[in-house]
Amino acid sequence: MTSAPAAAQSPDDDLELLLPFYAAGKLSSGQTRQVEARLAHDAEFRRRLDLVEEERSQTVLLNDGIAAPSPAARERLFAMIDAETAARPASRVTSESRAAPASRAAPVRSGPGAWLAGLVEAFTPRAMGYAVAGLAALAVVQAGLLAHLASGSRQQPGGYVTASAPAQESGVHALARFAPGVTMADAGVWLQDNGMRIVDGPKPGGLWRLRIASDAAGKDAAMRKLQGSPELFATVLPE
Amino acid sequence: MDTHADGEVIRRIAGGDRAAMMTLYQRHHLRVFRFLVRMVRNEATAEELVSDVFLDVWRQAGAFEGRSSATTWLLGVARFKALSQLRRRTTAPLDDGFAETLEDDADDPEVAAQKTDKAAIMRACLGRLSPEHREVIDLVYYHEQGVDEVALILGIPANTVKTRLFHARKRLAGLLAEAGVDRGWP
Repeated sequence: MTSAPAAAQSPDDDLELLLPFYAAGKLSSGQTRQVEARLAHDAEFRRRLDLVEEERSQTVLLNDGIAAPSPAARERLFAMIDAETAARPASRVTSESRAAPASRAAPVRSGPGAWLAGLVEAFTPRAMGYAVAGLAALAVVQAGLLAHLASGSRQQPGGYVTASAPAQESGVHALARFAPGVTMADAGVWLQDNGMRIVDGPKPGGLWRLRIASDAAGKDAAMRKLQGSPELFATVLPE
Repeated sequence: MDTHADGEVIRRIAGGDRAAMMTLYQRHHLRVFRFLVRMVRNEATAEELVSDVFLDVWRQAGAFEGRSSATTWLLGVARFKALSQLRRRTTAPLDDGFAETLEDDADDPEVAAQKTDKAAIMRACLGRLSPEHREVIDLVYYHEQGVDEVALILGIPANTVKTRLFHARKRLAGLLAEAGVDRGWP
């Protein structure tokens, strides 16, 4: 059947053991040369590589047949992250300070925000999952508070503060409609990280007025950021 | 996957960057989910676990030292989560839809052999492998992990990775032979 030395029947032949890794492209250059040198003169070894390729292709097909997880997995994850973020310092990491070492200790706070933070931190990850439904309700409350904020009050709900809070509403604005399923917590964190905030809304059609930059020089970059986040903003219109 | 790019994304996550977290999730969630499904054999459980895996990443990104790829790290976390779940689980039923795609003890090689497609028989036999053999096959063939990476994920010596994979392949060949598919090896 073959004209070359038989390859290993037991795991004593290291090259035989390496064939699957060769097929997966995971050998060092030296090991690859060794395998290829043997493949060049050992017909049985080549046949065994074919067997490996067959196994590999069917394993790939088997795994590819598993559908993607539902959006619920992502929503659950980010709801838990939002809950943890809400328990973090108001001056949470921004794009300017991202290089700083990770430190997610809860801030010392007082009032309802502190109570919520303590409650959130007391949850185990599993228990946190069960709290997500409650947090969804909290998001609705936040929406109301944000609407209140937009109407003129500078009080910040839940311990959040905006990256900057000028006294007047000067600057560049845009109109945006949030993507379905996006919570105020989602949007609020993203806007804060990008130096933007909600100043009015909701308007007819579910549009919110955002302050996106302090002057015209920053407008294009801000619009690109908004339009580059379709997972958060379904519609973005310049004002 | 671009290892350097993943490293940068994880560094940003360590700094609390939620958008970076979304990027990492989009890049890797499908791979992690499939690995989990193959381990726990239940899609609903795997969905919960995939959230837990990435939540751990969010919390512990600062501990990622970049000695392995993000994929290797994620699969290691996923495996730990899956094993913890399997230890807790006693009689949790298989997801009905997914169970149909799995070969199990009731689907013996003779049944599989009734299928006319040799490739389908191969996939059925892959499903009959033990969890230990199945995971090493998946890690190398599907997740394209190297010897050292698999060793890291499974917590075993590199040589054991190679021999375990060899024995997994031998067992697969045995199941194929039982199903009437003689490959002339081993």
